[in-house]
Amino acid sequence: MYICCVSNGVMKRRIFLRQTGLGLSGLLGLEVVFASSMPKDYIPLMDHRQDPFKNLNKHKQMIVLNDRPLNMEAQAHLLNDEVTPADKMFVRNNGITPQKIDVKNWRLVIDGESALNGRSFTLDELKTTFDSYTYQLVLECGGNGRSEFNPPAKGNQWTIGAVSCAQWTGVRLRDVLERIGVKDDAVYLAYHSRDQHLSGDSKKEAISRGIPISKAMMDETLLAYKMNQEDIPLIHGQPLRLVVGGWPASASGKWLTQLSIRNIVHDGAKMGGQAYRIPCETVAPGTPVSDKDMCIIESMPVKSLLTYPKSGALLENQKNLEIRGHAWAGELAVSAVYYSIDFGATWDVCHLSAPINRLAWQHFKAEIQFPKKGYYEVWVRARDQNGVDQPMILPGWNPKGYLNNACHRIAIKVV
Amino acid sequence: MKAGLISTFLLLLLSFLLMKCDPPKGKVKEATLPDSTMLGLIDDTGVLLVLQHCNACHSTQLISQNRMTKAGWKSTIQWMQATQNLWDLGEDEAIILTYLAKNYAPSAIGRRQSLVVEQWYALDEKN
Repeated sequence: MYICCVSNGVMKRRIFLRQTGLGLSGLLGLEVVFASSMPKDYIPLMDHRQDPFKNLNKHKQMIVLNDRPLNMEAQAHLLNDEVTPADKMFVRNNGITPQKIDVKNWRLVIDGESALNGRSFTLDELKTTFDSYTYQLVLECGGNGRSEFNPPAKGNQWTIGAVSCAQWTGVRLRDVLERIGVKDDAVYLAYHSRDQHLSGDSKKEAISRGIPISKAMMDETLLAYKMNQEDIPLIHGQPLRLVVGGWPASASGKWLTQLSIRNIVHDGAKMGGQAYRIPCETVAPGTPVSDKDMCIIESMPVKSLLTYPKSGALLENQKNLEIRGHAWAGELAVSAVYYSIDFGATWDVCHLSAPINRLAWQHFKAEIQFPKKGYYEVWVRARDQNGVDQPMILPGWNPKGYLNNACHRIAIKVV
Repeated sequence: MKAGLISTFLLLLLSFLLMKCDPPKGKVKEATLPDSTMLGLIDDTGVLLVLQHCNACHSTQLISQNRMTKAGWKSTIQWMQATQNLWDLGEDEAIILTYLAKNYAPSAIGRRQSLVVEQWYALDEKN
């Protein structure tokens, strides 16, 4: 980060210490460099650009949508692994992320109106008091696919890569809540995290969301301390993350410091207004919707992704092609996946594997025979266990551009 | 070595102090950036006001990846003032709104666009 000092159109790029209300110069016994040459009405322009790949160990083909706060997505072909490795997992942040975590002195406080015996746990206490469980769980950003909405929806313009299915290890939230004791009037489980509000205001939280008690009590809802058999990487929530498979990933709070058992639907940051909500009743594209008519997103819809081959493949001297990918359906299982090479006119069935556990994505593959040379699009369409399919075009427009589960497409040329 | 440590410490302290974003104090003067990229924003009347008010708290990428009408940008500013500690933009607001609505306006893209292939490649099945 550097600050650019400019006045009268003459560039003077320098690092200097800004005079602050804290009396920085007095504090350090230093002069504010170049302060005397600053005009009274001068305002520094700040350039915060940093290399988002520095220290993150992310695959170099990951796409940065926003470097402050950091938001980064995968491309379809990067997600071909059955279990998503850390370097290909999308990053979604609402605030300023912690730079370092003191794992040894970490405590998780559990309280709330509906907690019988609130208390706190160290990480070791959690690990030794409760049994550990491991599940592969799909985490997808509620706004994955937002870039396609028309009229455009505001926010990070995710394309298809804000989804992952990693292997998470931790204790069951249910076991912990039962130890605390949950009153009969409990409604919601809220999380609080170590990240900071983007403005730096310590009285505000960047994000504090949660889940209904019924979801909190499910087997697969974890307080996770490992991802893919290693300590959770800092950017993904070290040392402790709430992992809520199948729901918008914003429910899976990172850097957990506190859980509150609430007797109301949690009212933390990004729970109200239009955040992670869609119109309770469908609306025509572009319709303004008042906050009171917006409902909280729970399970994500059925969706699939072609991860092999990468779009843009030229088939030379061959007319057959194996395609591979994953399908998932929020709280539900996927019952079938179909592909089309004629723009949806006809469909063939893909081979589909069973999920390794509930809320994990399922893998599909198919062997395609192209009839002749030409340009093709391979489309895939998944069906959930209730018989609901992905749409071919954009699903219902909503003001914030959530839940775009239109079928994924790749381009192929047989030459 | 020691001097290096001290300067690292000072830089860390500096970046800590700068993490809290503050409103510009006083009227913005015409100014230029170290290079002509405008941090990725389109260079047009008002861009420096946008940089000074908006880039204090978030990346310019959050602006450049979005498309809104003037009313949409205004409601976004109002949302940031209500929830994100954005300050009153005063007389700069009209200039900023004009800049955003002109340079980052929505275009009709329909319900599904054609696929775009950045680079066709020969598929080698042996990989």
